[in-house]
Amino acid sequence: MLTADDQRDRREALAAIADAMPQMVWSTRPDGFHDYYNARWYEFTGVPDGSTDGEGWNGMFHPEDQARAWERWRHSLETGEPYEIEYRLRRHDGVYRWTLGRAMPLRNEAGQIVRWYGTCTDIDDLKRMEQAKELLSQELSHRIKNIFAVVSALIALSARRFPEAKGFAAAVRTRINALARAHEFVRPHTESSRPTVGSMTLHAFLTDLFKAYAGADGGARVRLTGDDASFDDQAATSVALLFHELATNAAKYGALSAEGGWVDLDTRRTDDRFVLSWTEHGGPPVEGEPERSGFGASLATLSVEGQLGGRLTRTWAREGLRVVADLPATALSRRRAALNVATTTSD
Amino acid sequence: MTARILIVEDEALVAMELRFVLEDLGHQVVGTAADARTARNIVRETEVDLALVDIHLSDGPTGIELGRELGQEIGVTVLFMTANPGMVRNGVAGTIGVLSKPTDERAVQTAVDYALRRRTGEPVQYAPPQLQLFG
Repeated sequence: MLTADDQRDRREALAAIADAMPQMVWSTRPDGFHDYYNARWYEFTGVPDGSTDGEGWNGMFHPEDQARAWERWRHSLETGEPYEIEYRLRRHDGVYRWTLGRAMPLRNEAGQIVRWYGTCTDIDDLKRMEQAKELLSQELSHRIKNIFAVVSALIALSARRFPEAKGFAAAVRTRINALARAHEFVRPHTESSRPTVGSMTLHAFLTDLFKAYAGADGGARVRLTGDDASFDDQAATSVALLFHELATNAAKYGALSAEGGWVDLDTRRTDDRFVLSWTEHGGPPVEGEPERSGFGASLATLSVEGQLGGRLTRTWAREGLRVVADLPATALSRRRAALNVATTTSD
Repeated sequence: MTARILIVEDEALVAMELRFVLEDLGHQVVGTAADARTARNIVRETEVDLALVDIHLSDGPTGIELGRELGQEIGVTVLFMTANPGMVRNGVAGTIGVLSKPTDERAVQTAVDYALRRRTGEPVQYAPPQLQLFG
């Protein structure tokens, strides 16, 4: 049994520790009534001792954050779940600083909450650094996207003086445009810059890429089925070039050149492979493998076999071309796969 | 259908290419502006049917407000053309939609045709697939 003196000594020791901390520390009764703040709280906020007891603390928050903080706190009081939130706290000079608020309940042997202990940590500098970093990466991405547009325009302008180069220029431009689109799906994004299509996955990108080949009624002529996947910047170039070439080719000679023709594109993940199957339907009859393969075909092969480490097979069936790209499952996000390996080996 | 078109774009090469494409289509490009103020001056002095507006201009991300103003207050038909379509994801009142850059001649042609048809009240069944429409 602790004597009253022991208990007082203990409280004083705890208070001394709390006052020595760089963070603001507070404590409440089980019902959430604030009855203790350390020295750092009073130093930061500049309010008179005891003036934020009870529910007065909420008034120290930025008006826009008060309701959210109150809500979260009430939820923790009701459920006993730890409290964690970021809000803007008013400093003694009237400046609001981003603050991380956390609290944990202390329970007795019967499991009942006897007190809540919480801290407030000034994270404003960190927050600012994060925002600056995000802004910078946004700015870079924006410039990269702009460079694609400038390069594309430059090619078109250059070709205007040489009518014989028109076809060549158009082919290069559409390839560059496909790369730019893929970049949009793998660059760092914030809420406001995220592409309107919603998610940032392979299917979302392919849907976007194939929009240009939609039917007169706006319906998709390349029908996507199967497993979706995320992909990274390393895979983006190859994926964009592969499907750009397949679609361009289909629009010139294959299923997409005929009214009513369509393509089934199925993407499927098995244990360690990711298989993309492109099957053309309803196009002009295929007379067999072309005698000469164009640069587009070489680009597609190079993308799959050179860059993604997979196999590309073409079957010239009479009813339509069938192309299968069989990739290692990790090919679409190699960087993440490498990270996973690193984590596993260090375990 | 010949229209008077204003290009608001701060990349000179992109603007020049766009001008050629529009002129090839038989349109009249009444001016090219690299910032919002120049665009406002042109619109004040010249009649404009359609404005193609980039969002990031040489005076900052002023294209959104400019587009809204041209569309709502001056009655110009407005299409955004930007490398960052996410910036106008929630739409801009009084404007038609956004075309993602880089783009090609065909996409420009179909988007411009669509916008001009809407302007003259001609029936249009389908919007071009590459054009993201607002509300």
